[in-house]
Amino acid sequence: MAEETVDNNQADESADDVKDEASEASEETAVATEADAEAGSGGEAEGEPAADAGDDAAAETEGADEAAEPAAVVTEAVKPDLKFVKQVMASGGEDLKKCYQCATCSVVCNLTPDDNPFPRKEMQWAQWGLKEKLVGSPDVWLCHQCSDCVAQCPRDAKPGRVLQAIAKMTISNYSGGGITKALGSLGGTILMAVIPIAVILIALAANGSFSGVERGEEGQIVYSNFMPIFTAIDPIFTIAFAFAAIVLILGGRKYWNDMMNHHVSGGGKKPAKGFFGNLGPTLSEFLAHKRFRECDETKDRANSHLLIFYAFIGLALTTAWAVVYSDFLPLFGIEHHSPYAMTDPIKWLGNVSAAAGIIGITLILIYRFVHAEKVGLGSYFDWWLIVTIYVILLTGIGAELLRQADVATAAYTVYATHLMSVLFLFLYAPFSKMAHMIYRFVALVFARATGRDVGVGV
Amino acid sequence: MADKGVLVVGGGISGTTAAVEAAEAGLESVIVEKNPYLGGRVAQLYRYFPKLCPPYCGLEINFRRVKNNPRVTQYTLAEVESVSGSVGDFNVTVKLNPRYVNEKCTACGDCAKVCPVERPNDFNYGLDTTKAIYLPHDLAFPMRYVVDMNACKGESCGECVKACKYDAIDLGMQAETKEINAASIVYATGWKPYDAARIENLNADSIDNVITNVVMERMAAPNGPTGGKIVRPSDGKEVKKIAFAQCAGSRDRNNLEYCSAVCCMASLKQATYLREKSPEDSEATIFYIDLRAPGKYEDFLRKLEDDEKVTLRKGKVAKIEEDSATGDVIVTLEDVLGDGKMTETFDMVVLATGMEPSVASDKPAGDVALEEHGFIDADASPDGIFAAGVARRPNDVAESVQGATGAALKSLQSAREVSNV
Amino acid sequence: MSEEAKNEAAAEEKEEFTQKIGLYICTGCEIGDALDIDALKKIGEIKKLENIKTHEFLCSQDGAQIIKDDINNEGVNSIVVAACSMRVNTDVFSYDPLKYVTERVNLREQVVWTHEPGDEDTQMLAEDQLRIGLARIAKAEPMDPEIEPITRSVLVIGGGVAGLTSALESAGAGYDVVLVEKEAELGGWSRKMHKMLPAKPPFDNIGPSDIGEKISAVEGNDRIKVMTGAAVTKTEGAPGLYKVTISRNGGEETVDIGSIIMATGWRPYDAGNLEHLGYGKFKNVVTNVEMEEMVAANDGKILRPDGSVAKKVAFLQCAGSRDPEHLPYCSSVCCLTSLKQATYVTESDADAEAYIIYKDMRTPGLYENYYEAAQDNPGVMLTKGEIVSIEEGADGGVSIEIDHTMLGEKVRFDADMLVLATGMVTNMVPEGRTINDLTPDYIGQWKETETPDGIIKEVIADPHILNLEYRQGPEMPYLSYGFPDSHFVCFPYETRRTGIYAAGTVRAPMTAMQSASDAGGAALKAIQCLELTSEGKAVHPRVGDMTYPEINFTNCTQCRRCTVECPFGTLD
Repeated sequence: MAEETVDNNQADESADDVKDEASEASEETAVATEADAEAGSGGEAEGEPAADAGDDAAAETEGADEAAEPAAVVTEAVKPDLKFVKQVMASGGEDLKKCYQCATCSVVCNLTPDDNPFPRKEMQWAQWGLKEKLVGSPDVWLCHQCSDCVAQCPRDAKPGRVLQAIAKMTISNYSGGGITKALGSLGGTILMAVIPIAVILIALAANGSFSGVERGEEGQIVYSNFMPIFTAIDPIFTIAFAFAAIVLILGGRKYWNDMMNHHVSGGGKKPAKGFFGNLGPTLSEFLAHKRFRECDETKDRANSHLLIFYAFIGLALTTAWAVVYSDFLPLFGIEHHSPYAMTDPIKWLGNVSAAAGIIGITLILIYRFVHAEKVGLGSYFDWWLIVTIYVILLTGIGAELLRQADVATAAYTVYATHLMSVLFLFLYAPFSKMAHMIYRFVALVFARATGRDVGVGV
Repeated sequence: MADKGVLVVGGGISGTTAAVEAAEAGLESVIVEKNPYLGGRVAQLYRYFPKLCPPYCGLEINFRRVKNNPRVTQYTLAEVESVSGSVGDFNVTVKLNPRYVNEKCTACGDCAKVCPVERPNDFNYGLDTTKAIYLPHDLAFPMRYVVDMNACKGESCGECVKACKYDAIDLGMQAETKEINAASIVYATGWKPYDAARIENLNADSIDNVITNVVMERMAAPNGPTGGKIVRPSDGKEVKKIAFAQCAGSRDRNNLEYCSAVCCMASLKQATYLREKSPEDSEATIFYIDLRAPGKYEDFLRKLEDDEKVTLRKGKVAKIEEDSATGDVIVTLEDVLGDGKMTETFDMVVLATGMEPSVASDKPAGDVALEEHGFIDADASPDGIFAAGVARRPNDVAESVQGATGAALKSLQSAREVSNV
Repeated sequence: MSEEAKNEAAAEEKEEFTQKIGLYICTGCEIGDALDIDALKKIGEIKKLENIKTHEFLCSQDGAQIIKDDINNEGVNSIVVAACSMRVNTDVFSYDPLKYVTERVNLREQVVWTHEPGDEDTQMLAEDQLRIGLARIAKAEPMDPEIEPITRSVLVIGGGVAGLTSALESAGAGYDVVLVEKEAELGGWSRKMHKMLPAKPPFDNIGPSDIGEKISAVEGNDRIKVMTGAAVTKTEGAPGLYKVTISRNGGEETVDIGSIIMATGWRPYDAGNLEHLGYGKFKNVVTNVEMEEMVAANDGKILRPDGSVAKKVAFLQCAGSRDPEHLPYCSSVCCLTSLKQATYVTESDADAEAYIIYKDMRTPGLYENYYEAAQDNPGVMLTKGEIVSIEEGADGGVSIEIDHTMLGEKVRFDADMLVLATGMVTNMVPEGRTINDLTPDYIGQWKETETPDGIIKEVIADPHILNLEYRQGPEMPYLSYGFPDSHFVCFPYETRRTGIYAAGTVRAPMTAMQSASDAGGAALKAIQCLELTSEGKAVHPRVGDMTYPEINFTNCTQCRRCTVECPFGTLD
């Protein structure tokens, strides 16, 4: 198989983005070229937007090699890569080696397609250390961490955890490895938290907030006096959001292309409808969280995750609404400043979303302990996000309550923490578990596009 | 000085072997068996692998050795209540449960004819019933009837007592206790079939036509509940297409973590039961993770590989469902050698369940060390305590017999107060 | 007692025994209802028996008393019980075998319970059974055990784990032992091992060999006479009465022996036949035994035969095993051995890697724990696979192509060294013989003899280990692949030579732990042989039998069949 020929020595997660990017790209091209050679037609894969000038050169060289020895159908040496195996183990798949390939997991999984099911084959790939097969595979993201396989695995190899570890490596691979690795430990996380903390502190200092904050007209606490919206919050968070969005979109696109190349080189047909053609149905399935309901062992997660999911959407809308209030209405001469009255609909949305978020994340926490005996407590990767979300929600609600209780110092401190934690999440979304929203979504669209679907949803 | 003897707990193939081998080397041996008969689990088997010979052949030879050897004493329906003392001088209290039938019994069977009560036949794993007064099985040793007091209506009924011409039935019989002094104790307490209902994903308890390998032995046996016909429990239909699910609850952290060492060979053997009964139109499939046919057993495996009606498929059965219309059984698995995820329908599915040491759930009297799975670790137990057969570790009959003979030697050494190796 | 005196004594006793038969017919358990009892009695009357009695419940106290009374008052000494199977009521109808003979005629299970009651055929069957019983008892006499003073010592051949353990266990039970080892040192293969397989719960760790302690225990035991560099050159006689000639240092000595344990072990399958797997063709392809010896010699370092360090070692399971062309059977231990040696590889260097390619991972029973432990080792990769080709790499490594993996495709990968997991051959098979080229029953040579009836082809067995002075040949017969066992399910220690027991890997492939356990059982059988023989009794399978045949020479046709069958040459 073509993709096996590629040397996978770049498995080193600490490799910088540029190097990763380059090698990934050349990998893609190599795959594409061979696929073309096989299919006997040029153009198709080149239509993909991955190649830059350097890669074209690489493609030519590869193509020349291919032309020189067209008849050589030798089995290329698979290089079992035990270093990669160790990386997967270090990333949370520590029990992958216990697998003895009974394939119970592939049978008990309700989310796998029957054709070429997961996660048994991923376990085998992972034991051999076949990075290319794993990282460009949609299947690691089609897994929704139901943990049915984890509960039923006779060897306690925790296939779901292994897939998650590989998924984490996908994030690392497509969004930039170093940061994901750093976020993978408490020390690294603290170190990475320095940036959002510093940014917020600098903005506060620049605003002079440390030497006193002006009260509102009615003597109330006004957070926008503490941290001005137009000059501080807007630029900081817009940049952070744009950064996250760009990194995620680029990563997601690269992931899509890799999956498609693997699909085509493996003999699959290029689907008639691409990403956008399959976006709609996937989205509607996504919004209903249908796949989570297929789980046996952790069915209840459908609700908790759904709550969080909509809480995030609600909070995003609240933010957008606030931007409208603070930045757009003034353009029309309407001054509608925070703090908003409790009767203001924006408050309703914000508070309901926050409540949903708190309930959702708390349910997630509770379910985790309920299921712990059978499926374990989960990985650091999970807990990172759970704790981050908790901090955001609790500081958000805390800031609101403290403001109303008029406890100034505490209110400002909590509000600052809230801003730091939100910025923290924005900045590191592409590199942490938060990125799952994009990669899983891309994988779901891909599965729908290529018919690797289990028929749930819509 | 006469040797003090050995007390053997359990009268299955291992216990009987340990006792007769020790006795033939000159040692007084006492067998304490909780069933009303000797022979244990192997008495319930139809045939042994790999020779496909009847277990009763070897058992009968051993029973003859027991009968002819005045040094062997056997107690059936007996349980060890307590053990005290140490090597060379163990004092064992044995409770002799009442049989309600004395030695005058000729096994003529007139009592069972008139008995009005039925009970599930545990010898046939509940597939049929016996009367409350019953002969444990056709070849039971000792050949004597026994009353199941849980089922019997007692003296108020007394039909059997009236029917017995030989005055052999005493429904008022009481339990007795006996003190036995022994130099050593061999635990040959054997095993229990793992409870298939505990295997979550296989639905063994809710689907009629899913049976376990031990039940399959009784079904195939001519003296079994079906007279040797392999038929479906749900409708009595003759089985033509059968599946064996290996490692059902074995090599499994959620069930039995270890390998029971015999199930692969047992399923290969049971596949021949069906193939022999209808060579033309029967099919058997064995779903496995690793086929374990060590040593010369490989020859047996090769014989089945050569049978084109036998399929050996690498992939564990992970889901079992019932076709409610036909009673057929649908299994799902992934063939890991390339055929992918598949479902296949069978007349009947046999779960190759493993062996659980009896003492794991029912800790024996005495200071016996168990390892993590409940097997007896004789090395970690006090001197003079030995284990044989599956009480020691999961193994087949040949290795059980071999270990039991070794335990007999250790007993001889203990008895002679000659220091051990 | 001299032979003559003994014969005389026997003759005397024979004169004393005047047979008086009593026939006792039970009419209980449906016998009386189904058969014409008077007709049965008539058969006895025709034989002019004076004591013919019936009872409706012969096994009851009253019934049994009738027989006892006849024995005591009427002088009945030959008792025919026409009732139920000999399986039941054995103790009720059991009389001193040195004074009385007993015959059980089974009218119940084999006649009335299994045939139409009252039917003519059923009656005929019953009458025939009775006639057979009466005919048999007419020929029977009370037992006259032949008791000779015997040698209460055990000969153990082989000084490996099984032999050493047999010797220690026999000595531990109070018997003298002669231990013969052909090598200059005791210990066998275990002495050459770097580490040993797990041998105690939880069976998840390899450990150092305890063979040194065992050797010291043997050498320090007063009851054990150790003869190293020695071989058995002649074995004569019967249980309890063997005379075994042992050669050592050019000299010979003959010892009296009571029973024999054959623990001569195994040797590796000749990898010279495995050129298709690269052995002998590529320099860095070795066998598991060579690997073990190399690691032991290099103190844990993994060096290739060319002297360089091997960091990537591949293990190929079933190299020649489970293969009808080579060893058709499975050697049971190679999977465990490779798991163990893979551990050597990762212990030698944290970055070193071991790859095991197996057909089926066979770690039965509690050995599964060790498989799990090896799986957990991050430097060990295990894969199912079958070899397609092996090539030599540029750096002297090997490039292996395998198929039938669970990846669903053929794969090729490279390793610095390949270890072939070869199997075990019993040392019953002489060096140079392959197990696919054995003569039937006995390992030897075909010999064609021309006779008036044509050419007779027979096997002349080769002398090898025991050198028995027996008519059937110098060594044990075998059933398959040279293993000297008989019925290995119920009676694993029975060889087909009385008084000689096999232990350890000579009789079946097994681990050192299993060999040690096996040795204990063999010691018991050897001791049992001494004890029973000293009482004049036969050993299993005729255990407790005190009879022996007497030849009616007037009827002898000199077919010589008995001289062929009897190993001890009693009738030569």
